[in-house]
Amino acid sequence: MAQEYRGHPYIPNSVPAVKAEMLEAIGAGSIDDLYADIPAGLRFTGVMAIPEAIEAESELRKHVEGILAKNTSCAEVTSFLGAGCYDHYVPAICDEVNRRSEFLTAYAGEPYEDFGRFQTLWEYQSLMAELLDMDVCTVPTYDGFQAACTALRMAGRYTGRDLVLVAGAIGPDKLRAIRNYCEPVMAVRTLATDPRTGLVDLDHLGSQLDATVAAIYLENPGYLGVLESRGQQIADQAHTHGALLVVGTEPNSLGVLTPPSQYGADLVCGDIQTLGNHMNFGGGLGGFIASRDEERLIMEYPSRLFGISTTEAPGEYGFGDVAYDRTSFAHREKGKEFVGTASALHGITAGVYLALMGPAGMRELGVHLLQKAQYLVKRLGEMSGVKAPALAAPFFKEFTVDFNGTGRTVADINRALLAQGIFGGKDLSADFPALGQTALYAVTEQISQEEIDRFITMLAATLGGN
Amino acid sequence: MTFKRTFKVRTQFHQAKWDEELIFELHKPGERGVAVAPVEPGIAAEVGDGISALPPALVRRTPPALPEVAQMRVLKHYLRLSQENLGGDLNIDIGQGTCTMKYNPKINDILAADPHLARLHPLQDPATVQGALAVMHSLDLYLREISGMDRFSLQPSSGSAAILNMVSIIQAYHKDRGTAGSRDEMITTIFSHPSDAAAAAVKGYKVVTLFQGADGLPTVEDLRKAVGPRTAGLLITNPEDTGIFNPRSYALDYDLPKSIGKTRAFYGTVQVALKAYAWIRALGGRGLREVSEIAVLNNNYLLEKIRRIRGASAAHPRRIRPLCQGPPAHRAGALQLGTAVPGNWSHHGGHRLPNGRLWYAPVEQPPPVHRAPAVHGGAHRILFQGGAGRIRGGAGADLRRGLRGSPAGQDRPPPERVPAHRPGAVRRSQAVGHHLAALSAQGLDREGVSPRFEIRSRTMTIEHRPF
Repeated sequence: MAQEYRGHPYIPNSVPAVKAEMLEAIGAGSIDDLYADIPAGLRFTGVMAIPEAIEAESELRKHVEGILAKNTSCAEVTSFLGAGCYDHYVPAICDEVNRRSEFLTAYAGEPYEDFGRFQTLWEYQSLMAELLDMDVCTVPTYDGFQAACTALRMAGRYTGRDLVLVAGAIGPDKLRAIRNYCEPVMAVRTLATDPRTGLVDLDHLGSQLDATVAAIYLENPGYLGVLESRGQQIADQAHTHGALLVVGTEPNSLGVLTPPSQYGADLVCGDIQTLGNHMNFGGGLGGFIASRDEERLIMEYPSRLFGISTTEAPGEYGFGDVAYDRTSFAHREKGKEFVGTASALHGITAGVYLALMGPAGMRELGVHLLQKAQYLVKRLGEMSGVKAPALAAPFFKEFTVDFNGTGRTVADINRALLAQGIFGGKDLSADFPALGQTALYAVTEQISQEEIDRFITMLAATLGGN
Repeated sequence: MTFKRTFKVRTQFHQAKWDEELIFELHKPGERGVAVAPVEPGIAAEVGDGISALPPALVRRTPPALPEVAQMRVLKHYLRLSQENLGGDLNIDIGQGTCTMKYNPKINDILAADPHLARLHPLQDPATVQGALAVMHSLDLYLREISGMDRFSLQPSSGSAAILNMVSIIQAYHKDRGTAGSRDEMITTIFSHPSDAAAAAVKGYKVVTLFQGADGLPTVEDLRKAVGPRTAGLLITNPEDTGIFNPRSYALDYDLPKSIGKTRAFYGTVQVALKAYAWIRALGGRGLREVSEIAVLNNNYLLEKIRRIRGASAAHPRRIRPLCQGPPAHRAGALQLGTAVPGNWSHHGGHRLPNGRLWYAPVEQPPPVHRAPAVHGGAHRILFQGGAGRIRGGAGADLRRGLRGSPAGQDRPPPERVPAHRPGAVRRSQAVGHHLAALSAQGLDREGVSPRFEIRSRTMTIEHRPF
């Protein structure tokens, strides 16, 4: 028999005596009286088919941990998965700050009581601006997808044009998101790529550029890991035709790679998951958009921007909204796109990460990832039937591996690797049929040489067992 | 010893206030917060320095001007900044209708931080993420039960993102039926979150906004007039994009030919889904009902307390019976407390309380109030530590630009500027949120009911405005 309901630890004021006292204070006879204005037909009187409460925290913990235990985390295996989400190391201080109640449970306060959050996010913007070598950076958008979508719509409004050219291979999901977001007002056209490199065909790009093009969207590194070294040429072509160059980039590459602003990018966007945020099954993402300090461009940002200010006290800092009138908070459908709760906490964490790493840390990480990826490529290249990278272009931490010569499918190989505690790279055969049986491999600083060597041994055994 | 405590002894609450420097000012060349492991010597021997393999155009020539700060200083810096916030764990984070802050049980944070969730890659083999899929599938079913809908999607990143998803689905629906060209209007109400209107506009819709009728609510007559052959929708639907159930295990179904595709990477904010799952399981069906009932009770109780403050009033007195007997002093908005509250309570223009009632101020609501000219953004390039670098305002726009009127709001008059230091203006301490009612009363006594107000924060004077 179900126990009599006695109130729940999570709900203050649910004790009957307190409830009665409060009802009396407001002159109501019962909770039901408070719903008197809601027509009976709109009120739910049944019992929801939701399981009985697990009131004891000890039991709840056991229950949820029991479910989570069915997952295999990347901590337990060697994972070469990337494709937009990466198992980089998260320093303990990032977790400490990320989990502080004051940040974690703060919501829509203003500088008078959430001064620290304003300063923290202003600092995040500024740290990102330094990494990107740009003047302006937003507080975080939802993810890199949204950042790309918004950057392209910004370019459309800025130029008054309605065509986006996508230069180079792009992830199919991101392309879907861009189409969904842009196509109501802009056309999105993908360009031919060089099948050898996966990079944009510059001749085709040139032939598509005209006075209707708002932006060229380039990812560097690209979805397939390739690095585009002709960024300045592409920027020059865009600018010749009055279009903007929007570049999606991986921020943790910028300790060693040239930031897109230095080869002519007008807007730079991407994801901050790799800056101290856990993967969370893909939930740890957060987007950024950055630009130069140009008023007309700044007025196209939909999200909040925080600025620093002087105050009444000489030498003291203040922080506040910049050009708030841009937003849909201020003007509903007449504002720029829309704005709401996003992933500010991930931005706070990314700021902590950049402060911890500094220029030396970002450089060392970049070098580490380059070396490790190059080592993995070298070892793979020694195997018969395997070609790495599949695309002939420089790469950073991620690259394609061509298994066509092995006579085996990527799915097959990955299944065999999984049995050995290895997550093989993402299978590209469905999304990029022209590449055949090719996988996308990524490394992080968490994978040791020993693990790579063991992977190579296991892969050789798998392929040898044809 | 006898303590007499018939009143609160400490009335001088003060939030932590550090004179904290900017992270850039903590820069000391050579310091570092974390060490990055070098690759193993065996790797370096095989591939060299890594960088030489790149074409010169790809190699960054000058390092980013990030500060160099030792770990403990980074920690102190951010913990001090954290203390300069009042989150829901410390204080009542004033609810904002759609955005009410409920209790966030700490156990849920511990569970979400479990490496079996935190270090899960979204592209892992489904066999290795059965726990995550089980949580999402169960949550899906619970949310269907709670909402009464047939399908649920956990993909949107937030409430506003969900609105965009819904508009996208409506648009896809009309495309599928061949009516996308003719149906180009989306109806919403002035009370709804601004994203209802703004996300519809993003998708190219003409937004038809219903305003309140004589009784303060949108009327059925107005809705009838608004609906027609050009109406695409009213923003209600529910997709599913992730887990489907089969008796043995969970799979991911991507075969949804009429889907809008993707609107975010991967499967949504799964760590938040886990917290929602844990919340629902902890409360059960009975507790979920109880928590809503108590929220409504609390709301009405708070309203009653606030109404006793001289000068405060509530819109829709008729609709908040039995609480509001007798006519209000005036109807200048949801809750015009003159000083501390309007920015929060009138946020987004109108709010539906959990009990279905509305607090809003659609007509008499003051226009957006802008920051005082004293607050300016700008690309601050301040030299620090002997000129070793520069500080750039992440937001490079001069705030005053915003005061020239919005390009998007050409049809409305430029907002009135309010001097930053108007003589006799109300000055606020940081304790605003804490002694809400008392401060409101003080403010009213000193300044009268003013929809615009200034708040003194630290020693910065800014103007508060609805957002």
